[in-house]
Amino acid sequence: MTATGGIAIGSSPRLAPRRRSWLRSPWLVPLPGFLLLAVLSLPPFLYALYLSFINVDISLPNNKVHFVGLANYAQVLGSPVGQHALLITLIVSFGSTAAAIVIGLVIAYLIHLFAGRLDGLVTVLVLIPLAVSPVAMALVFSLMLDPLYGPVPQIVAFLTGALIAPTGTSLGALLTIIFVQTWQWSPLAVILLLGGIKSLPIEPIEAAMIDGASFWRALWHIHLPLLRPLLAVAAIFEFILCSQVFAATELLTNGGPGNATVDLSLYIYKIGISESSQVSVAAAAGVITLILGLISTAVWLKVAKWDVQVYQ
Amino acid sequence: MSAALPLGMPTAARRPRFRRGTLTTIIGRIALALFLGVWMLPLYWLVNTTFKFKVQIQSEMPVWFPSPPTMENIDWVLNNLDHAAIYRSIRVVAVSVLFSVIFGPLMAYALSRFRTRFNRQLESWIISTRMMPPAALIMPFYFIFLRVHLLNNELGLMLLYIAINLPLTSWIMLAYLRGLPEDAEEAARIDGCTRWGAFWHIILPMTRASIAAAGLLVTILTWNEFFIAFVITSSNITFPVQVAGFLANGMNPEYGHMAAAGLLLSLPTVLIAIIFHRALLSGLHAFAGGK
Repeated sequence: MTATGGIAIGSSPRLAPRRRSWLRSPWLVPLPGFLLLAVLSLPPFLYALYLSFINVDISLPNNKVHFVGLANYAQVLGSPVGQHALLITLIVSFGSTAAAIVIGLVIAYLIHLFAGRLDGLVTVLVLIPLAVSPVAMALVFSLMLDPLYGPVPQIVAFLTGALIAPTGTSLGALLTIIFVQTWQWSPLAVILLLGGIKSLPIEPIEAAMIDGASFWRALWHIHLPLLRPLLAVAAIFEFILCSQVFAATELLTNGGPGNATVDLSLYIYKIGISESSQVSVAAAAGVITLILGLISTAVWLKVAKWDVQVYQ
Repeated sequence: MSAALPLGMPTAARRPRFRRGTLTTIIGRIALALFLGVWMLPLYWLVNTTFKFKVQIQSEMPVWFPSPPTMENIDWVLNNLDHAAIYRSIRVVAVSVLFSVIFGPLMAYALSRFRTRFNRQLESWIISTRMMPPAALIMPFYFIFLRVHLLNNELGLMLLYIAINLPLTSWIMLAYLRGLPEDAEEAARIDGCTRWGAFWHIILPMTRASIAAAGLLVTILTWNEFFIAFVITSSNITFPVQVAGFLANGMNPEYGHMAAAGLLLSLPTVLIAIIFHRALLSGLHAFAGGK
């Protein structure tokens, strides 16, 4: 709020030599937007910080509320459940980002090289998972992975004779979550990388091939280094999106088996709202999530600028 | 047939084409087709299950085509869904998208044209608010909303959705506006136009398509939003939260009903994505690469 106010007063004296009152500032037109955003982001942030340093627990109304220092953070980062949630968030984010980038690169090249006349249609098909509701997605995967009636276990049983329940084991459930996140967000990687690949020159590859390099080697050694800035943008962007899981962990695996797929979001929801009411611990976990998000966003903004400098 | 590779590209004509063997081309196309098959399988299974009878859903081997197709799952869902949830979703999406589509471009225009010392920081702050995982601030919102009676309230939902849509529309519009030359506006200003007059007469007509692209993207994301609605509403729920209720873990899950509900939920956004794919693609590029 103060930031916007400051800007309204100090707006571009260079272009407007005449001294104007703040009422005539051009910033007044978009001001409702800035104000609303400020009101909806700064107070909750400060309130989250406040909550995370005291000891609010709704189930203990007679509890004296007082400052507890870093105790809530210690509980999140020091308890096995909290550490596990952080670990799961990192595994899911890094795992699905890596998968999305590899799949994105492969599909983008396949489209670029082989789709021919159909490349418009193929791009539209690739785009679709992005628009599918995460709830519907959790639903489809619970259909497809049902140990009895799901096609995936049925096909596996037909081929190998083994009966599997993918969401029944810790590893299987975690892989399922990673797969769901990858399926939802890799279209973005395909689209971003396809745009980059189309803008790359083909001549250096031709030259390398004339010199005797194979097509794939030329692609690997010449195109990939050129794509590096774009790969970095796509990767960090995917990371931000892939780290935001909820529908899959809540609906598909419900954090289970045990707490094998409880990531930070689900941990916050369970410990703060649904299973217990340790509001302050949940707020501290929220601040940790926020810090992770801020770091990755900062990296993304840096890398995106870097990308533009390279391509102009 | 093997030589016609980059036909979709505007620059294809002046580029020499790769010389690849027919075999490579065939293998490549098969790989692409396989990838697409796996890619589309979950969605196909949703449609497939929706039109199957319960006997076919509970068969021992996968039934790949619903024959004969049945409408009973869709009928059941249409009769048993709480229609109020669908209307609420539509209202919440409409209000939050409308607000973001109106104020996003205004904020972006101010940030890109009225230079102050703080523009850069303001931009970073705005997009940071969008990129945060919603779980990060859900506890404070939960309690603030509890105090001001916005919990389980449509207005509270609209406010939160504006808070996540507005940064996105302004960010995307910033990316577009940066690429626009300022000459036309300057000319208009010299002819006596005010700053916002220049926006209205010069910028708005030029960026209509971009605004639509940003609007479509936030429409899709808001319609699908689950976490916030799930946490802050209990009875005044949105459509995704209601469909999530169908996923209740029972001993004998009604997969046909679940699939039909999931299909109804996904259909609007998937259709939007297919029909307006060009706008969506340009919006996504602006979102990710937006400097």
